[in-house]
Amino acid sequence: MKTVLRIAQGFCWSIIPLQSWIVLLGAVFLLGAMGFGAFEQEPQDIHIYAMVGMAGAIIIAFVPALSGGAALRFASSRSMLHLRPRGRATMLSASMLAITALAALIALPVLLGQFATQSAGFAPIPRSPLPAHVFAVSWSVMALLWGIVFVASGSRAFSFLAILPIFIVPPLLIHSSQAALDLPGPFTWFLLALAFWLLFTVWYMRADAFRTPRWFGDRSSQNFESTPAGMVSSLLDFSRSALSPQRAGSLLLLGASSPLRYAITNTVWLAVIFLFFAVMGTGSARARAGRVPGMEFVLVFGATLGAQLAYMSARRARLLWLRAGSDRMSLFAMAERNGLAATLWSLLLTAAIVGCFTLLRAPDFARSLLLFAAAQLPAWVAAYYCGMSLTRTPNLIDVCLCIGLVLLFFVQMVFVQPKVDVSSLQLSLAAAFWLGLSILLRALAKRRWRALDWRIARLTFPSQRTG
Amino acid sequence: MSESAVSIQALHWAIKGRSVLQGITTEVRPGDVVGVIGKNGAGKTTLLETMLGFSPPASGSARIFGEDCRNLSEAVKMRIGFVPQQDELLPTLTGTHQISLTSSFYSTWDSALVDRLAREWEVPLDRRANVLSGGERQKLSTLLALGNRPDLLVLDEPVASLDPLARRRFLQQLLEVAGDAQRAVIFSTHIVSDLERVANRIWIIKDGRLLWDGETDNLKQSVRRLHIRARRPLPSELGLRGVLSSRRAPDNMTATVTVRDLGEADLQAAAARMEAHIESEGLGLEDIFLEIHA
Repeated sequence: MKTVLRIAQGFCWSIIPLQSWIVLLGAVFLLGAMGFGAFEQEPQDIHIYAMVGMAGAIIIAFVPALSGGAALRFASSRSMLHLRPRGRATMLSASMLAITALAALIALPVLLGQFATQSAGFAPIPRSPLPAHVFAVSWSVMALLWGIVFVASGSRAFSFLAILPIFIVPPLLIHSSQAALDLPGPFTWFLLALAFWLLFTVWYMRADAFRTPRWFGDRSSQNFESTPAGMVSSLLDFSRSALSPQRAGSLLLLGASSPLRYAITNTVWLAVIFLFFAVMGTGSARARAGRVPGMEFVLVFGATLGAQLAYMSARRARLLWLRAGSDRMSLFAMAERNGLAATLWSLLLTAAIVGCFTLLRAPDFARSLLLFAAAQLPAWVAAYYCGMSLTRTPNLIDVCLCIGLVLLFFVQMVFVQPKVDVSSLQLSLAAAFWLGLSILLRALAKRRWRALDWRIARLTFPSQRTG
Repeated sequence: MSESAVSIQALHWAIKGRSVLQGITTEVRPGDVVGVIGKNGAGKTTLLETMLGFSPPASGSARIFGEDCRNLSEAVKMRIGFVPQQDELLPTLTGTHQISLTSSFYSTWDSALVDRLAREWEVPLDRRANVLSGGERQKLSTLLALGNRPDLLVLDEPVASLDPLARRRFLQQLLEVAGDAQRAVIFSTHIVSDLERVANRIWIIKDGRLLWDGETDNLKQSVRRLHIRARRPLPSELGLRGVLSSRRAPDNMTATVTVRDLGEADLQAAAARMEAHIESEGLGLEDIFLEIHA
C-alpha cells in the first residue's frame, strides 16, 4: 500500500520537471478559493469561488491527465518492472488511485460550495453542476486520457491516430454552433469509462511486455535527431561532401545545418495544421462573422516552439564549447543568430503557406491575416529569449516567467484577433509591448549565458544500447 | 622550461551549497600522463569539466596553455581533445558523419590517423550512433577527440565499457598516439590496473580535495603498510606521522597501520619507542586506494 501511495504521489507531483510548481499554483487557486469562499454568504459568490477552486484542481490534474499514461508506460517497461513482485498490479493501483483522487479533488470545491449554499438556507443555483456529475465526468476524462495516452505513446503510428480527433473536433465546433449536440449524461460516460478501464486493466495485466514511450528521444525531448524529421535533415546535411564550420555549428545547435532547413524539417507541420484549419474554416460561422476562418488566432502559441528551441540551444551549445568561439558570449551570438532565424523562418513559412491559401480562397482576409502574422513576430522573439534565459534548473523566477508568458499569450489571443477590420493600432501596440519585453528578456538571457554552466544545463541523450 | 598544459590554482566549485571541489591546486606539463582516481562523487568529472571551462569555477582559476578556462581562444581549443563520461554523439548520425561533422571545426584534421584507428579499434563507421554498443560509442568518441592530434587529451572514464582485452589494446594505442613528450593526457578511471600500466602521474581525489598529486612510483614508495608486534600493550597514540588507516588486534599487542611519507629513521624510532617489531610492506595501487578511503 505504501508503494502504491508513493507511486500515485509521483504521478501527481513529479512526472515532468515543472509539475510540482504547477501543482503549487493549482493549490493556491484551490485553497484560496475555498478559504475566501468560506466567508461568502451570497450563493452567486459561493458558486464563483467553487468554480475558481475547481479550476485550481483542474490545473493540478492537468499534467497527470495528459502524461500519466506515458509515465505509466515508462514505469511499466521491462527494465523498470523486471523482477519486481506484483509490479504491474502496483502500477495499475497507483494509476487508479491517482485518477480517483484527482477526480475527487476537482469535485471537492463544488461539493463544498453546494454544502455552503444549503447551510446558508439558499436554494441551489440553477445550472450549477452537481458534485457527483463533476466527479463522474472528471474520472471518465482522466481514465480515458490515461489509457489512450498509454496506448498512443507505444508507437508513433498510434500517436498519430490518437491526435486525429484534434483534426476532427475543432472543425466540427467551427462549423456548428451546437457544440453540445446530444451527448450522453455524466453517469453514462462514467460507465463507459469504467468499462474501458476494465478492458485496459485486463490487457495491461496480460500483455507480454511494454516498450518505453516512443514520443521522446529522451525524457526531456531535447534531441531532434531522433525524430523522423531530424533523420531526413541529417541525410540532407551530409549529401554534400564537407560541411563548413558554420553549417556544422548550426547542426550542433539546431539539429539542422541551416535555420531554413530546421524550419522545413522540424516545424513545417505547424503550417500544415494551420492550413488544414484554414481549409476547414472556409465559409464557416467565423468567416461569416468577419473573422479570419481557421485557427490563426492561436498563432501566438506557436511561439513556444521558439522557446523550446532556445532552451535546447543553451544546452547544445556545450557541444560547441571546445570547438568554436572563444567565450560564452560568442556562443550566445551564434545561438541567437541561428535560433532567431530558425524561429522566424518557422513563422514566415506558416504565414506564407496559410497566406497563399487565403489569398486564393478568401482574398478579403489575406491582408488582415498577413498583418496579424507580422504582429506575432515580436511575441515569437520574446518567447525565444525567454527560452534562452532558462539556463539553470528552474527556480521560482523562471516558473513565474514561463507562466507569465503563457498568460500573456492568452491575453493576446483574446484581445488581438485576426479579423477583416483588424485595428492596426491594436496590432502595433501589441507588437510594441512584445518588442519591449524581448529587449528585457534578451538582457536577462545574455546575463545568464555569461555564467552558463554546462554541468548543470546539459543535454540528455537517449539511453545507450549496451552489449 | 616548457609551457604548462594545465595550471590549476585553488579551484573551487559548488552546487546548491555543497562544495564539490575544495581548493585544488596542480599542474600538468607536456609529457605527463595523469590518471585521476577517486570514489563515485569524489569530484573527478567536475574537476575535468571545470578545468576545461564547461563550468565556471566558484573561485580559483584553471588555465589551459596559459589561457583562462572561461575564455579559451580558438587556437587553444584546436589543441584540446575531450572525451566526456557520457558521450555526446548525435544519435542518428553514422560514425562517418560524426567524423565529418567534427572534422569541419578543425583546420588540422588527421583523416589518415582516424581511419587507421577506426579500423584497428573495429569501430563500425557505417552504423548510426544509436545502434552502437557502449564500447563502440566510447571508441568513436575517442576517435573524434584524437582527430585533431590534440596537445592536451582529457578522457573521462574512457574504458569503462570496454572488455579487458579491448581496454588494454585501446589504452596502449591511445598512448602511442597521444602520449609523447609534447602532449599531455589526463584520464579518469576506476580501474586501478590501468593507472599502474599507463599513468606516470596520479591524482587521488577524495571529497573534492586532491589527496595525492605525484608520480605513480613515488606514491607506491611513500605508502607502506606496517605490521606492528609489541611485547607489551601498545599505547593509545602510536605517535606515527601520516597515518592513513589503523587497525588493532583485540589484545592490543599487534596493529596494522598504513602510513604515508614515513622515513626509515622515523620507523626505527617508533619501533624503539613502542618496544615493538615493525615489518614494513609495500602496497599496490589498489590497496593504497582502499587504505586511503578506509
